[in-house]
Amino acid sequence: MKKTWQIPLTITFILLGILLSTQLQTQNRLAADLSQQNISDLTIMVKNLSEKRQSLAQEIDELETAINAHSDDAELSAQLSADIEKYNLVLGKTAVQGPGITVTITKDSWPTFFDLSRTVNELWAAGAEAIAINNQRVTFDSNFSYAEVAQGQYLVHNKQLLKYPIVIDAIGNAATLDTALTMPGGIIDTQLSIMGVAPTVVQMENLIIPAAE
Amino acid sequence: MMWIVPLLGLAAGILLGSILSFQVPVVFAKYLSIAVLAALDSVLGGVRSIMEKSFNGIILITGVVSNALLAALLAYIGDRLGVDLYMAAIFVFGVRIFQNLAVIRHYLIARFMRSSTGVDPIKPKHIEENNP
Repeated sequence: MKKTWQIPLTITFILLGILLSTQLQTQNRLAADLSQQNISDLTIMVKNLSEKRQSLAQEIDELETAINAHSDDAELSAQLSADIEKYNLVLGKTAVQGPGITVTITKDSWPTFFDLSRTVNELWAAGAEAIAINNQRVTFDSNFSYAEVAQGQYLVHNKQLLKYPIVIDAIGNAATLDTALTMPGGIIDTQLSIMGVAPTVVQMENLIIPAAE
Repeated sequence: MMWIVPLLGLAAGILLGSILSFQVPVVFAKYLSIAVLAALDSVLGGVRSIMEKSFNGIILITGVVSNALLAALLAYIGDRLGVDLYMAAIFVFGVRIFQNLAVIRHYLIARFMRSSTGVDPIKPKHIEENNP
């Protein structure tokens, strides 16, 4: 009698167990399904998710600001290196290459050192970036004078005797520099011609001016 | 002690179900729950019939299977027809589960009292026979 009821009951219990666990799993999956959640839970979920989204958007903003700050740094350093370049140009620390004009004063005239300094100042005023006289860089503290050596009179630039022909190289906008010197009523027309100095001005595609010594 | 084997069977069934992990579509979850309810009712009916010494293995097994299938089918048809038949199934099976549990409890208490005091307690009221 005992054996007879145990076996069928065990079988049914196994069936019941399978059904139960299957149903439990299905129910768990259902509980995880969004459409089965109740509205208040969904509201909380939406609230949490939108808060998270907001904080993430804020983070994006912060990161973008940081990126911008970094690019500002790059801008700043570019600005600084441009400044350094500019001051190097003024101080004549580096050789300069570019278009410009060449002013040549031949020996058949008698320029004074005033003429040289006027010409150089005129070129600075016309926006010359770098000027050299006989391949010697003119800087902010250049000076012009003249000296007599062995019965000969020489113009002097930074204690260096200038031999003829005196060649003034200036780098900048060639046309502007040219016009600044040669325009009617300009320096060549009114000042240099008094002493019979008639320099030739040639626009150059590519000039190289050495660094100051 | 003789209940150990069926209980082991229940544990084995649960284990088997979780190992096999049938992927029942969510749409059928409702019908599966009705089937579980029906199977539970039938099993409890079987236990009760053991208590009443009117147990029949064939009737139990066929009862569990057919009850579960029919209950699920009925709930499905009810859904097709737009009648909440699964409500009726839940109600009926729920009531029957509680009845069966009550009868089983009565028999257990009676047996316990008989064995401990030797006094025959009031015999459980015979609830109408609706076992499979």
